[in-house]
Amino acid sequence: MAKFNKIFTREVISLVLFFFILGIVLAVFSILSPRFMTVDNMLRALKHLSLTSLAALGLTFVIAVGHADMSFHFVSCFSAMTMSYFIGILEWSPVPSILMGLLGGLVFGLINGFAVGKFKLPDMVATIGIGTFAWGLAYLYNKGNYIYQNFLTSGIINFSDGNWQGIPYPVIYLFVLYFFAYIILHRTKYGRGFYAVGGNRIAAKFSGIKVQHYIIAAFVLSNVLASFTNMVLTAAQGNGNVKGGLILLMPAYSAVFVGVSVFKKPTIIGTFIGAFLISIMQNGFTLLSAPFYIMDLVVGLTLVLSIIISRLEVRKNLNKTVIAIQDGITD
Amino acid sequence: MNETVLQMRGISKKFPGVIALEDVDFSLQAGEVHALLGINGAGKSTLIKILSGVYQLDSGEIYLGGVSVEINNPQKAKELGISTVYQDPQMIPSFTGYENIYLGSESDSRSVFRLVRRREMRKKANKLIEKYPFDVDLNQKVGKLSTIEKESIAILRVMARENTKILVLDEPTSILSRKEIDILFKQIEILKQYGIAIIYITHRLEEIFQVADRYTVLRDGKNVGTDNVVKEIDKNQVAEKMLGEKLSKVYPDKSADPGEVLCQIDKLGLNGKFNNINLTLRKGEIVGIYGLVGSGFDELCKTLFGVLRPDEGKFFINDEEIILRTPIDALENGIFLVPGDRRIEGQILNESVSFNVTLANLENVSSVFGLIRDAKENRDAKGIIERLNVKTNSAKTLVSKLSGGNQQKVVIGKGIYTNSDIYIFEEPTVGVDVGAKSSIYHLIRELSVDKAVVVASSDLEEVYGISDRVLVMYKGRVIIDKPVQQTNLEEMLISGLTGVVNG
Repeated sequence: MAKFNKIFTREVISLVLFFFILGIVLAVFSILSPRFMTVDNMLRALKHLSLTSLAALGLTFVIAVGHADMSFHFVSCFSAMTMSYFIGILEWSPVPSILMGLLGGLVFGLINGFAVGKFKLPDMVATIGIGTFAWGLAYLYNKGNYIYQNFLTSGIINFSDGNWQGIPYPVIYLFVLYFFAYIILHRTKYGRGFYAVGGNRIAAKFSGIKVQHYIIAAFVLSNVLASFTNMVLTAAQGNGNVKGGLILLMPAYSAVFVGVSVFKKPTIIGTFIGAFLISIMQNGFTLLSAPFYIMDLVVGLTLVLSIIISRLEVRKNLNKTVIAIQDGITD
Repeated sequence: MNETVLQMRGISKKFPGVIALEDVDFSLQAGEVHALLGINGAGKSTLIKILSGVYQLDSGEIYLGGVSVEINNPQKAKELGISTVYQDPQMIPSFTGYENIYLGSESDSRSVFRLVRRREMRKKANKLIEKYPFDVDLNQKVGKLSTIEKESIAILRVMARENTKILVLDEPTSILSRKEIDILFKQIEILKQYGIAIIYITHRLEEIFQVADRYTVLRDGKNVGTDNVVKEIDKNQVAEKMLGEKLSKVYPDKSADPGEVLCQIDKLGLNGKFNNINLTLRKGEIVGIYGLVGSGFDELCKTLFGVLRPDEGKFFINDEEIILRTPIDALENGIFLVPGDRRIEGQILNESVSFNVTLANLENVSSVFGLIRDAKENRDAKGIIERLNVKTNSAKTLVSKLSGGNQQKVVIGKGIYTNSDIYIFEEPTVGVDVGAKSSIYHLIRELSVDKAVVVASSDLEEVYGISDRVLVMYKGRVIIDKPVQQTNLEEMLISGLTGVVNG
């Protein structure tokens, strides 16, 4: 009996439950659309998955340190427009343009990180403010108009549509970045720092953890990865569009919190399976040519449900009070 | 007065793998204070949770005033007149005392707009405080009140429900200073006069002699004895009952000869908190600092660990001056603080034992690129668990699943794992039961063999019992500094309370 209890821990049960739900989703779409279960479509779904999941990957670190980031989708618009500007208007080649875009993500990640980590501004409000500012800046590049010059000729399309041995680049980005993120968060001492800060930042401080560094690092990761994602998206679309990155917000949150509801805390694998669920649903609805708002509806609902599940037993009220006290004490 | 208000018979409760309560009888009379004793895990809180409707009993019966009742939820318990005040009552700091007392019952459902009826509330509150003359200003915002005043409001809040007959006080003194404890005891006397029956849960044995009429000891989920409190009771006898075996010596032997000087603190001061602190720490010596909460020892400990920055003074380790800006500096210089508030400063509750143990010395379990060496971490954590005798299923068990004493051992284990030279223990045994207490003291002594140790605490007996040299702090000053043999409990107590030193 004891052994039985040991095998069927809560994690295992919720994983089984998760795959059960995933199975139902797959089954429903397969029945509704014959094209759903084809190799072609699965590869497309995987490519789509890479976009949802990379933004969610960065967000995982922010949630791990106990904060929220409401800016990464805005910042990603700024970065993608920066890249587009360097390619389309200044006629730079793709790689340096991509680096300039990533630099934009880095700068805003640092700004967010300092605002929340060092100056203790409330995360939600501060990141919405900073993100909106970044979005405003994105408009300045071309007065809010599309930038499409040189997109076809500069080779930037390859950033998204290229492949290596038949594997699309985005899928490679997905696995490489997830692999490194997994190693960092779950296999190194730095990962311990993120969780310690999120678990109890005063105790972390008393244990010699550089609390502010971890918060700043989390926001940098979130903003840079979201920027990267949107740049791939922009390359795929063949033009820079100030609103291109806005769609990243909800799927990223849903993916992370589906993961939290399965594993009790933000984890790389959790985020991955969360993103998988979300993009399968998005793919399925696209095949069914459902109107776009159905997607919003489902993604939003998934987020709310997963938060309810994770709230039920994860991070009980205690942690909230600890965080409240911490905000008053840490310098 | 001798009317039995509560009778619990043959109460049993099982949790998966654990028998929390087994055939426990418990009775309570009107107007009595019945102390419920037991080390952590003895079943005290399970019994109380059954009484207050949080848990359901597996078998047994509960009679209230001779009538069999079924308490299947907390609301039902309240309706039956059973109320509990927990150790850290939750209140809204920006509300006044009376607003907190009547929280949730402000509006009158009969009035159309459901307005908050302040005048009526205040009137009711005044009546309440006339009945129970507690020394607390109900018009003050709760956030500005002291701990005992908050506790008073929590009790008044319960008494505002007029049907309250049974009051459970769950370790009410754990966060109070000695003066505040006396105030609480007076309030308990007042409640007794109204025939309120009180169940008083505590770790502190000496308190039951001051406040209780009867006591019941629980051990391993069984009632091992209910008796009247009489003056002649041997404390050790009660402690023995709680522990189940002969109480081994609580405090370890004193050190015979302190070794070389490791650390010298010269005229350390922090504005408004403490000033002119001189301290010499030697290997093999335990320096105890006794003071009331607020006497400055908390800030002193935090300054020695780099959490707070001193305004003046110097700090030498091995004759070399060092400056501590952050805890990181302190750890690099071989200083570790076992903080006073374990829950907030000491542990990451939602992480495993091994996570917590290695947190302050991750270098030791990581290789290139900071990769964690799982096998070594597991081995080392197990070593610490064994050495400190932490009661846990495995090194991967979450700290939140451990009892208070074992949680404290994990924090100490984290310190030991840093292999520091100077250990500062602040309130090392708060919320720790008698059995674990003693093992923590022996651990501290063992540690002090080749390290310098400071124990700062508001527990007088603890400082006296463990230290080789004692300091007494009063309002930020050190007013006594001598070998423990040259002072006594009385002198330390009086100077700590009043700041006056005899002779």
